[in-house]
Amino acid sequence: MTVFSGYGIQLLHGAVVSVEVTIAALIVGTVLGIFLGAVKTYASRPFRYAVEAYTAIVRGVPDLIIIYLIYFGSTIALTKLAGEYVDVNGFMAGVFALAFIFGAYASDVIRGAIRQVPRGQTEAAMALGLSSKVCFIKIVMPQAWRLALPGFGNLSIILLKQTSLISVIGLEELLRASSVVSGATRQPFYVYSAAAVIYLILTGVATLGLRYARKRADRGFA
Amino acid sequence: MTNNALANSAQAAGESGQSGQIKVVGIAKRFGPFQALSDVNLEIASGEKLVICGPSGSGKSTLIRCMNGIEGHDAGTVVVNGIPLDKVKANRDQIRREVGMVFQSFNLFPHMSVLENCLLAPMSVKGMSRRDAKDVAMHFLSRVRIAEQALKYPSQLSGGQQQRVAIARAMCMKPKILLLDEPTSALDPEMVKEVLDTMVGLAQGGMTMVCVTHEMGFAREVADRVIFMDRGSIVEEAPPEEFFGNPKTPRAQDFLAQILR
Ligand SMILES: Nc1ncnc2c1ncn2[C@@H]1O[C@H](COP(=O)(O)OP(=O)(O)OP(=O)(O)O)[C@@H](O)[C@H]1O
Ligand SMILES: [Mg+2]
Repeated sequence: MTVFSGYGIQLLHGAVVSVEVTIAALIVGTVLGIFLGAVKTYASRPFRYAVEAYTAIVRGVPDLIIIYLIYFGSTIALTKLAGEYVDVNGFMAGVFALAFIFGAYASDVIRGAIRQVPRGQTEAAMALGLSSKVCFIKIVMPQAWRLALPGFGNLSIILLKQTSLISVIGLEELLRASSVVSGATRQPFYVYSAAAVIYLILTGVATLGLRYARKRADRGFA
Repeated sequence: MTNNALANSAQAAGESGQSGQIKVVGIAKRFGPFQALSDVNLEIASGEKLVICGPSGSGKSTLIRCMNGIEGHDAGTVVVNGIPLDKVKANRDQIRREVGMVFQSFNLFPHMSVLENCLLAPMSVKGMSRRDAKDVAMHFLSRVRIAEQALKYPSQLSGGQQQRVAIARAMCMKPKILLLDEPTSALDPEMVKEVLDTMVGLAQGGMTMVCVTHEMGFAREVADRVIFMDRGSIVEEAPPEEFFGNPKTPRAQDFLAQILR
C-alpha cells in the first residue's frame, strides 16, 4: 500500500479539517441552541414563534440545501455589501451552516431539559433574591445541561458526520480529500474504506468524551 | 413638621417600626376559576412567631408564598418591612433580600455542595467576598450542626440534614423574616425532631417567623399566635393554648380532631 503513504497525509489533513469544523460548529451551535432554547422556554409569544419557525425550516429543508443557501446567500450578501465579488471562505460558511442546523435541533433538546428542572429550584433561587440571569446560569442551566447531554451527544456525533456534507462547497475536509485521493490512486474502495475507519475512530473518541462529560455532570446526583 | 423631621420619622419607621413586619390587606388569588385566597387580612408584628395551619388546599402555601412574591396576588396589598410588594422589581428584590424561605421539599441545589448552596446568594445578591460569605456560612452550618458535611452534596445527606442545610442557607442572608412552608412534612418521623429543634433554636432570636405546620408541639412552644385557614380564608386566630385547647369554629374543631387522631 505504498500508494497511500503520500496520499495518507492528505487524508489525515482532511480529517483534521473535519475535526476543526466540528469543534467550531459545536461551539457556535451550542451557544445558539442554549440561547434559542431559553427563548423557546421563557420569551414572549412573537419571539417564541420566530424561533419555532426557524426550527421548522431547518427540520423541513434538506441539510445540503441549507448549506448551499447559506454559502451562495452569503456570497451574494457580502458581494453586495463590499461592492465587488467576494469569495466566501468555505470554512466559515461551512461552520456557520452546520451551526445553524445544529442550533435548531439543540434548542429543542435544551428546552426539553429546562422544562424538566423542578420548579422548586427556580422558586428557591427567587426566594434567595437571585436575579433571573444568575438563576438561569447557576441553577437552571447546570441541571438542564445534565439532562440535555444524552440528546446533545447524539447531535454532536451527527454533526461530526455532517461535516462530510460541506465537501460540496469546496472545503477539503475528510470526504473531499478522499474523493481527490481516490481519483488520483484509482482505488476508491480502499480510500473510502480508510475514510470510514477514520470517521469511526473520531466518533468513537467523541463518544468517550461525551461519556466523561456525562459523569462530570452527574456529580451530586445520586 | 419640617421636611427633615418627616424624613427622619419615615426613616425611623423603616428601620425599627416596620422592619420584620408583614401587612397583608385584603389579598385575593385565583388559579384559573379556582379561588385560592379570598380577602385575607393579616398583620404580623416584628419578631412575632406565627403558625399557620389548616386542611390541605386551604391556601396556606399560597398565602405564605405571597409574602415574598413567589406567588403574585391578584388584589389587595402586601407590605413587607414597610416596602410594598408590587410589580416594581426593585421593591421585590429588596424584600427578597430580607425574607428567607424554607420549603417542604428542601429545594437545595443538587449540583452544588452544601457550602456552595450557602455561599451563592450572599456572594451574588449581597456582593460579599467568598471569604466573608464562607465565615457566615460555616457559622450557620455549625448552628444547624452540619458543619462537618459542608463539602458533601445534598444527595449524600438524610432528609433531616438536607432541611437543616436549607435553613442554614436561608439564614446566611441574615433575613429579618423567615417563612417556612411545612418544613417537616416531607421528613421521615425520626428526623422531624432534629429539624423542629433547629427551628426552636432560631425562634429564640428576634427574627419574625411565619411557619405553616401541623406540629402542635412546636406551635405550643414557639408560636405567639396560630391562624387557622380554610377554603382560602382565615377562619380563626388565637394564641396556641387557646386555639388547640378550645377551638371556637366547628371547622377548626373538625380539623384538630383529625390531626389528633
Ligand atoms: N400553581 C397552581 N395552579 C393551580 N392551582 C393551584 C396552584 N397552586 C395552588 N393551587 C390550588 O390552590 C389551592 C390552595 O393551594 P395551597 O398550596 O395554597 O394549599 P395548602 O393549604 O398549602 O395545601 P397543602 O396542605 O396540601 O400544602 C389548592 O386547591 C391548589 O390545588
Ligand atoms: Mg402547602
